[in-house]
Amino acid sequence: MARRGPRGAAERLRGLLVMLPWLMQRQSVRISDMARQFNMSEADLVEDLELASMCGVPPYRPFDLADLWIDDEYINVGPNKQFEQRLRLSAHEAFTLSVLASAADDIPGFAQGDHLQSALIKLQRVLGDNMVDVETQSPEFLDAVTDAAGSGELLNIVYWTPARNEESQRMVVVRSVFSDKGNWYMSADDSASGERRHFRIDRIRALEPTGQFSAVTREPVDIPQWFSDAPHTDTVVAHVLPHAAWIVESYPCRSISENPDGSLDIEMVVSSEHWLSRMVLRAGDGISVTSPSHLVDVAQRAASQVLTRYESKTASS
Amino acid sequence: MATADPKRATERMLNLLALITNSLRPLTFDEIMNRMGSQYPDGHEARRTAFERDKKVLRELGVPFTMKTLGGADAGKTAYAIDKSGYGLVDFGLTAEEMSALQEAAALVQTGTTWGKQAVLWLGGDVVDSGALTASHVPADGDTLPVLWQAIASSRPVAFTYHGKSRNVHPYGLVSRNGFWYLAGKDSVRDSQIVFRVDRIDGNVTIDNDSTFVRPQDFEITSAFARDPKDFVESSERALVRIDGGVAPAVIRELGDEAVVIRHDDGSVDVQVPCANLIAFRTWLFAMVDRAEVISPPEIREMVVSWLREMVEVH
Repeated sequence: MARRGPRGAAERLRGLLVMLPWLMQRQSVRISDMARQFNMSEADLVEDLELASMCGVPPYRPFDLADLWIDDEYINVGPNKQFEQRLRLSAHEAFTLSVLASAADDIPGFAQGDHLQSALIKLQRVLGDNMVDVETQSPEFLDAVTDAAGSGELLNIVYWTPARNEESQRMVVVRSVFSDKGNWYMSADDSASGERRHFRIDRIRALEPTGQFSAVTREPVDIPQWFSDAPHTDTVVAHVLPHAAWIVESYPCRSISENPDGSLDIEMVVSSEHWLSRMVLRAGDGISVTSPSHLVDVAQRAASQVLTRYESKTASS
Repeated sequence: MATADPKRATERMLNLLALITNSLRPLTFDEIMNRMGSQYPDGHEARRTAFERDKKVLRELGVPFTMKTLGGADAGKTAYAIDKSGYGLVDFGLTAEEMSALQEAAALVQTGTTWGKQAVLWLGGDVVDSGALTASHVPADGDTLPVLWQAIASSRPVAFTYHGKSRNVHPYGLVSRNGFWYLAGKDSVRDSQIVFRVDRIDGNVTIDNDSTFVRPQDFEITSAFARDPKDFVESSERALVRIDGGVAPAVIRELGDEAVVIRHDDGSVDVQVPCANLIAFRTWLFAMVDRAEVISPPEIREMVVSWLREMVEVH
């Protein structure tokens, strides 16, 4: 439902100039349906449409006005129409339409790709050439996981957990599949923990259908706020040199501030020291952790751990 | 005053729109006031001010108000009309299946705004709940992206501040990658194609409406990025790396069976990987922390050891 508060003239007008052509096209619409479509309260909708029904051209006789009336929970349009014209699509709307088209095409199970593409060709007049691209990975087991979400089939998976650098075997019931920031995830009931968990699909190392099925529950796909409220996390403050800027583009940061020399000061939420060790080893001298104190020397400890392996064995053993 | 009441102002602007849209010829300010006078405040200046404000609001909403200077008996007077080529019964001829595809796309892709759903309504479609078990989250809010899109669509240069420096750019396209938006275009001062991260643009983006540019015909948005320096490149230079059993299956899946040189009884494997791109090699190797060890060639092993010693000493 829409938020309440005084609505200005421009907001009301904008709403009406989108709603009226939509309504004219349909002739008769249930008030509750139309309010839901336009995310308004029924009271606001009726108020605006009553206002529009008083508008038209001079001298404002009944047949000079927009022919709208409300009857038995329905809004109806008569033969004398006004305001059929659509506003130009705003840049915000046109841009977002381009985003939707690019992203939807990569969603597994989106079976209408051909129709979407032919729609875009027809909309080229307002969208121009397609110059928006949403990059999304296509991990190996994405289709299998998506199929399982739809069928309810339980899956045996081997899953790699980077925080512990371990692979584990689990049986999961996939509840939903979603992409966020270019990566694909599944929300699944996990036999290993007995909880609903999120798994990154590109970290599934092996997958086997079980032939067992669970009832499919159609819940709204809930895309989580990663890490921010997870237990057992540290907020790490670090200084990142320009050549290691890939860190902020690969991992979610709580805050990023750029310095005049191109280096970055970042805050990121870290759920395991092992995960942080991997990152700082990979970045080398490109990152230095400045807080919290117990992680300031994480790079040194991680490097020592690896160096021990090199120094304790011969190269060709 | 009429504009103090949003309802009255809305009603007046709708009437103004209806009057000009239905008129067979452009109307002057005086003609408009003669027909709508009671809806505007008294006094010429107040009327003119309110009329200009209404015109501005309608234009900002996308109504293509045009002005024309008349000749003849009305010489010099300005008359107002609606450009019906840009505003009218737009029929894109979308089929039911095409509209359904757009509605489904708007339902499945979450951008953090309602603009996509508004666009579907604008096209005459419905906002639907797809009931699908899949979704895609592509944050695309704020005003910067639509302004850049507008400049791209109209092939107009843009100016903005980036890293504290003023940039003039021919914008070619927008790419969402790993949760960030990037603008690909030609920096007209450096005369080279460059990629800007949109969230690092300081302040507003200004479109230069007085000039246009031509995008190179061979520009492709999907290949706008330079190769990721962390990607492997094929080369004959290879390192032999021992991978512990716990992570070996994953590495074999990544590199393929052909990369495996030796399989040891304890489950560990020796694999050959390209090492010409040292950044890529280091990033790949240390993702396994102490579960991978370079065996040969000696100079690469020494280099890894020196990297590690440096980290132990410097940090």
